Amino acid sequence: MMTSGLLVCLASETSLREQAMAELRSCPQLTLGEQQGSWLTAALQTDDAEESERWHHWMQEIPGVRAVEVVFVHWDDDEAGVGRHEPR
Amino acid sequence: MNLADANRRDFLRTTALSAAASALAARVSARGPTPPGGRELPVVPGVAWDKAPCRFCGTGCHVQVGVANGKVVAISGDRDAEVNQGLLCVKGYHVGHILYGKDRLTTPLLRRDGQFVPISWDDAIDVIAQRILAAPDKFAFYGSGQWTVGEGYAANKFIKGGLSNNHIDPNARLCMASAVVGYISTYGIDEPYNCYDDFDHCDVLILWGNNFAEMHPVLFSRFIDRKLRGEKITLIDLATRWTRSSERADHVMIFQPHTDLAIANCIAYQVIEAGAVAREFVERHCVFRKPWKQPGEPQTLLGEPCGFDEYKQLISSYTPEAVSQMSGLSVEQLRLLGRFFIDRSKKVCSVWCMGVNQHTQGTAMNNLLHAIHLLSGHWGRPGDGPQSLTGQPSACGTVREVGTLAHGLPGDLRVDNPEHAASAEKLWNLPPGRINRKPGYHTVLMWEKFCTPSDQGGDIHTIWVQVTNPGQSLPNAKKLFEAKQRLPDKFLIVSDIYPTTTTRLADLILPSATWVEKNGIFGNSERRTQQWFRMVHPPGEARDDCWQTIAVARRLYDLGFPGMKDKDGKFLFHMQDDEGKEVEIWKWDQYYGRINVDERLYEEYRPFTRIKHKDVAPYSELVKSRGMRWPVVQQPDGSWRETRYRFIEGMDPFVSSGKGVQFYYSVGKDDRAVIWFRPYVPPPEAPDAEYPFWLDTGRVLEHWHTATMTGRVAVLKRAMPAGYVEMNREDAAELGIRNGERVRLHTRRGSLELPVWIDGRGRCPRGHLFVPFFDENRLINRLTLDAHCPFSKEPDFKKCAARVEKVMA
Repeated sequence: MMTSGLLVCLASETSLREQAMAELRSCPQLTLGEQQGSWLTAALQTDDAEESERWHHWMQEIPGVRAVEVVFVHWDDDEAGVGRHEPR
Repeated sequence: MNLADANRRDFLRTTALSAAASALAARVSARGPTPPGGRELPVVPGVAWDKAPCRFCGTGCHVQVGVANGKVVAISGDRDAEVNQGLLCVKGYHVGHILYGKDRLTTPLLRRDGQFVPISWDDAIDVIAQRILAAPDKFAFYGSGQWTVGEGYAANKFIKGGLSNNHIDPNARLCMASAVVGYISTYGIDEPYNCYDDFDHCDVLILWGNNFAEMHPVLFSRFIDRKLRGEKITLIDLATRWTRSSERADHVMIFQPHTDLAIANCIAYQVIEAGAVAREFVERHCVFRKPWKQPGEPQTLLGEPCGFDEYKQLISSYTPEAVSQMSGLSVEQLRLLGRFFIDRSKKVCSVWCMGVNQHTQGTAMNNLLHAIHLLSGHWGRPGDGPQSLTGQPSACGTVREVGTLAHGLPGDLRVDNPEHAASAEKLWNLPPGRINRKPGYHTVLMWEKFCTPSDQGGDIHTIWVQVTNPGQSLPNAKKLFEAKQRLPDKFLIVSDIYPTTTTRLADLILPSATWVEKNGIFGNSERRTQQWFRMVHPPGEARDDCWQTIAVARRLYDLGFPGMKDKDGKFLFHMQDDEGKEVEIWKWDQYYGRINVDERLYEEYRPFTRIKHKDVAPYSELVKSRGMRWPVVQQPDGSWRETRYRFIEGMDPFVSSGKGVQFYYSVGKDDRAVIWFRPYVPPPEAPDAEYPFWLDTGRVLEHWHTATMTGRVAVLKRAMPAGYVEMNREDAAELGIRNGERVRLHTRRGSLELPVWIDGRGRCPRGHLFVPFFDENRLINRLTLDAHCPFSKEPDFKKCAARVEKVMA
């Protein structure tokens, strides 16, 4: 399991922002927290790092989302997400 | 999911939200002071936290590293860090994972009959010592801007104070040597006078060939945040291809490669034309120089003095109309750039990295960026000045400050300056004359000599590589690296954490510790020195690179090699404990014992930094802080004060009272900076009928440099598994090539098959190709050019001529 604390920067235009909030609420892995100005806090919980990365990119692509910044990441010991280069 | 799991999941979610809320509070309070004792860390049961700078780029973000059961299990942005204020880029997901690739090197390996066989550390140390003893003058060290300060300092002392041959150079030669020479030839001394605060204060930010959004994302966010808050600030992306930085820019200006020199001169032309020269500032604080006595003569580094009138005449041909023809920018775009510099009411910050530095006119281009800011008076106010960035975490700290370049000594001193060499000999307690006054081989020359047969002048016989992957990152790699395969008398030693393109040709591989597996210090792009402690143990028999160097030095000492003794006969790395007893730090079990070797090396190095007013902070202060920007000077109350801006009275403690601005290490010893004229010079290789495309190389977001670390992170590898060539849609159509099809790319040095990516993340203009260099199975640097800047010796990875051929299925 991977748990991330995020700061999401939203667009200043109200309609875009509302649209973005609706999109973000639709993601079951995401828990939305407090909002101040353009900034929204969120927690993302996924089975693994790959899924986290996928949702991260998904958020970044939402029209009313200006930026997604990572402030905290915790992963389980068996979820190091490491790969191996081709043998040589 | 059982109740315990559910509770844990809830707990971690709450912790993550709480960490985000704290970061938000810090952000909203806009750089408020850190509360006494620092800000609270996320509470996760069983996890202990400690600070460290991030392992990746040169930004120098601080992270908090969470350790449980001897493993790194969590990362949190460090909210006490001024650089990143608790934020991390997307690589923050993965920085902890780089330690745990399944193919970590864990034991020394010696090539015997074509196969690697495990050997003991003792035998490995002996193999190196015997190679050195056989030919000490033919031994070289090839290091890195990822060396910690202690590692680089030890290697530098080993070569310059011990072997006396000066054959040491870092991979940073390939990324920021042009910036070094640009600073020295402009201000008389290396490194930026300014700092990241500029991104908080500028009105206009100009990216000079710099994909800021992907390469330094946290700094880019720092600027973009201001835009999001509604500040009226302008971003100019001056580039040769469309990137993610372009998406956020107010103006994207795509220019013909290599014409940046003409564009900079055109800005100077317009400043003069508009009568906007900052006359008082220029008359008091600057001089003009030209690169030769007469046009047509070879350019020299220090050139010749000239007056303003002559400078004005030299610049007079760079009209917007003429430069528009060369550069491909419109007259209107050039006029817009000119207006930013003409208008002194706006603060203009220029920022650059590889696009300017990896250039056969890299020094000249650096000179010109400083020149347009000095000439126009856009210099010295926070937010108003030129600033170079680095790509590695300690390119500044370990390479520029510790002096691991072939001519350097610690503290920005030079081996070929007799006073500097004598100072170093005194501080190292060496006999006079021990330091060779002749600079060693720079990177390209070192590898050329290594890859040339000994009987044909190839007088480097052994190279020891630490913390870098030259097999993948050197230009023209067939000539400068792979030719070693045919030279059985040459010997390559590689210290690394994973197998790489370089270890493929190694004769001896040494397993290294990395990042929080060892104590360390880095120095980032804004003169900030950052310290961390070891938090976990390296796997198997992996050990610190610094220990490896000291162990070889000691073996040489024990074998009677005179260079490893100081003038009193003591070991070059002699250290003793508080009771005055020698600590045998060359023995691994004593390296992390009674003393902190990293601290001792740093404190030994620190007096060097006082010689040229680059005073780094005491180790004890670094332990308490998230880095301090030198010069760091003690105040009457005993506290230590860092310096945000150098050369400016009231900010820099070394500026004399009443001077206002003082370039106290100026080229002419007159306290003045140099405004250079540097002409446009054609590139050494340009597209022609046979090779009609420009080939540009660089990095991608997912992988850091040659992907030695990021290639071990499965998610990153899956997200960006292989190299590709970016191609313009119309060019591809003309050649009958569709997205994803394979092409063979040819240059005068070789060819390579790659899939084509059209209108992907980056978009090339017509006649332009881009290939990232992270893929070890598609080595683009076999095709690149090894032509380099005559002054900085930095190669141009960004421009050579290429041809594209469709591969038939």
